Amino acid sequence: MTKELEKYIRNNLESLIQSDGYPLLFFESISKQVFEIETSINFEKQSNLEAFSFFKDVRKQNIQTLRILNYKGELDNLELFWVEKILRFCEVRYRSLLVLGKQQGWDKNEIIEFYVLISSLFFEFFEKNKDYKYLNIGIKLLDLPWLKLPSNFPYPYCNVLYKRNLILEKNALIKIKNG
Amino acid sequence: MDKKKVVIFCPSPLSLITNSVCEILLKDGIEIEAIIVRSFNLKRFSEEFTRDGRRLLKKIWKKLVLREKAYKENGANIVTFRKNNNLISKNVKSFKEKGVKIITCGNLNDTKVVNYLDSLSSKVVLFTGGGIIRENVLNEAGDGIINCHMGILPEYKGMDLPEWALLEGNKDKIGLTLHFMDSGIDTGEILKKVKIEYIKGETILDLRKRFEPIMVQSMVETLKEYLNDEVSPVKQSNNPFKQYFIMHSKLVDALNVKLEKNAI
Repeated sequence: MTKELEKYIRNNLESLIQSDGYPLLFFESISKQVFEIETSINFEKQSNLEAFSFFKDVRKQNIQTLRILNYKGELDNLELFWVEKILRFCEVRYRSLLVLGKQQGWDKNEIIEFYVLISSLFFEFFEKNKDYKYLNIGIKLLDLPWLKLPSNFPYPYCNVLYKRNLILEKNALIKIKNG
Repeated sequence: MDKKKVVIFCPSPLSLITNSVCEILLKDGIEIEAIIVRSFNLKRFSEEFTRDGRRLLKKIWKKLVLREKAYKENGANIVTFRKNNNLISKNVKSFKEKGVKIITCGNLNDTKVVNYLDSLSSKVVLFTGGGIIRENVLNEAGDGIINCHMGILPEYKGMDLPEWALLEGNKDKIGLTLHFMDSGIDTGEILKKVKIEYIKGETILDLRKRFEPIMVQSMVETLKEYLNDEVSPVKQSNNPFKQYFIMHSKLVDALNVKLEKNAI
């Protein structure tokens, strides 16, 4: 899987770099190891988390902000509350996430993109905090049949994140098995 | 003061746990006023399938089809416990002969249940399963509804708690909590905590099977102690502990590999 991911990244490097900073943490943590290159994460591009109060108001920019803050270890109580709230929503509404996305007027690709970002947040939160509840919901999201990305998915960074999440899942399960 | 009437909430007339609890209570001289049984209909199947998915099919197969055959003979499980304690009842409807009212409902929150509870003066309810209980029922339950939660509160709220405690390496947090239900999720006042020791090399399934007779004994003991004023409910402190959800089968499998390797 790692080789497949590397190959994919090499083939799509240009478009990934141009993808508005979205690969984010994957680049920081993987690119340094795989390509020995530094990438610039746009830490300034944060959106105001207080601007939303219901899950339906959460947008991908908010998820990216949470990912950045988690990466930097700067999640405050409000943001931690939101990470938890997003987890709860995904757990409780797990079987109807696609339908709920459509009710918001999003097309399927937008919904997939949104939940790939959310599952990335969960895996990263698990990596940082070793809270297995986030690994659990991350695995559940990756298991959703509609979230399995087609090879021609229009957002390359999503394919990368998705594949990276599969690797993180696999590694986490191996670690558990080995105690 | 009126003698408290005991009402049992039951998830299915065939439930081995409910049958065992009721039989022991009656043997011990505790009068059961009524057993309120939730029937299994299409609406319930649909609700539970939305929540549990394929797990529900396994549950139905085990609890309604295989029943006692799902357990190892002479293993540490409810079937052996029933055998050792000469418990013979297989359907709660048989308690009708002993003067216990049997009330069947589609949902434990039905108006029928609320009205029935309202008609009793002093009462306490023992919950042996049957789904989420809403405030309308909680408000009419007299002293309250005692639940046997499969985790140590307040730390372990939610679902699959033996699994979560093991995964998190908290072997000392495996057990049961007898508590009064309230409108929150596992947040009600605590009557008793029962710790269960994890036996090295035991699988999750074996551990869960070992839980069942302990649950029966704990429910009976706690109810009797409560009726005799030997135990009082204690409020849970305001705490930061979060809720756990159903554990994904991949995590359960990984945990079982770890347990089999005796790594914990």
